[in-house]
Amino acid sequence: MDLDPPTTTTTTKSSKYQILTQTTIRSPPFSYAHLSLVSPSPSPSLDALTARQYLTSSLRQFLGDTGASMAIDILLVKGAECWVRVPRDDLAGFAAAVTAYPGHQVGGEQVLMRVVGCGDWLGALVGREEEGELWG
Amino acid sequence: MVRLKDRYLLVNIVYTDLPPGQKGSVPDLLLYNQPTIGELRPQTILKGIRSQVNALFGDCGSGSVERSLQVKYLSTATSTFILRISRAHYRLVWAALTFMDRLPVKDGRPCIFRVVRVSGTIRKVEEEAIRRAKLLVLAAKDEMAGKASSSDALNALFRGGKDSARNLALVNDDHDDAEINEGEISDG
Repeated sequence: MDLDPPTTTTTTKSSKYQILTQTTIRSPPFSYAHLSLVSPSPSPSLDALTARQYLTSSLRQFLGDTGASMAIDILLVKGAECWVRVPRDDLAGFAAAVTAYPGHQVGGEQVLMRVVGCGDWLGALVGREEEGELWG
Repeated sequence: MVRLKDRYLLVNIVYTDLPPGQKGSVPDLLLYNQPTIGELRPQTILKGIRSQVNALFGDCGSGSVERSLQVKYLSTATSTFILRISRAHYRLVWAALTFMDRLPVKDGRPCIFRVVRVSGTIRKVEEEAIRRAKLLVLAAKDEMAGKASSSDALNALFRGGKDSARNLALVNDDHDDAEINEGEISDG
């Protein structure tokens, strides 16, 4: 609400907001993936070392030494799920490697890692997690 | 019509297991580029390259290289061979050649595989092979005549070009239409 008396000066009216800076992020440096362990036992648990070992062997089989040396950061391991970060250019190869891997034998059971989602933006990936529960 | 584009790699085998400071009748340059003795056949080279690509690049890499990898020409006398590989994946094969450190035969000698020319047509690669052979003969004659010292053998080995800045004549993908389409009609 403008309480000042109207003036007749010729100054231009200042806009209500000012853009200090704007930027468009076209190619973020990292991509994120949400993985989940699948196994016949009722409550599989995952820790960071097991996740790292699984990812390394799946990448080594699909992409060889260059795959095994891919810079993967394990962001969070919770229950049977883990969140990882990979360089953006490597996401396609990473997702293909994890999907193509036939899995480990752990104590007689076949254990697999499944890609629940992957994408460039971590926030969207976290939000997508609830979709599965919404639709059944 | 879609034209499948390939790259042809000219590769030298350079032998590295020379005892240092050898004073013999054979100039060092010829010792580095000596003929290949033993059972080197196109199939053994292919097997060696495929296993190295599998180690470096896994299932994905070996699948992409498998269709079009072929040894077009092998000369054990000059330790030179020409490989054909699809344009999209020639760097995988080049990297695999860099990592190979011995001949892919049983008890193979240590050596390096040096890619000296990449081209879109095999004609240019053949011309380059002939040109390099001539330069090698001239350089070896110079060394034998004592005009060049033996340390120049390494220089001559890595020179081999009209201007030393273009030692490795790489084909730039942006200009490959100009390079490939001499005398060829392509609408792909």
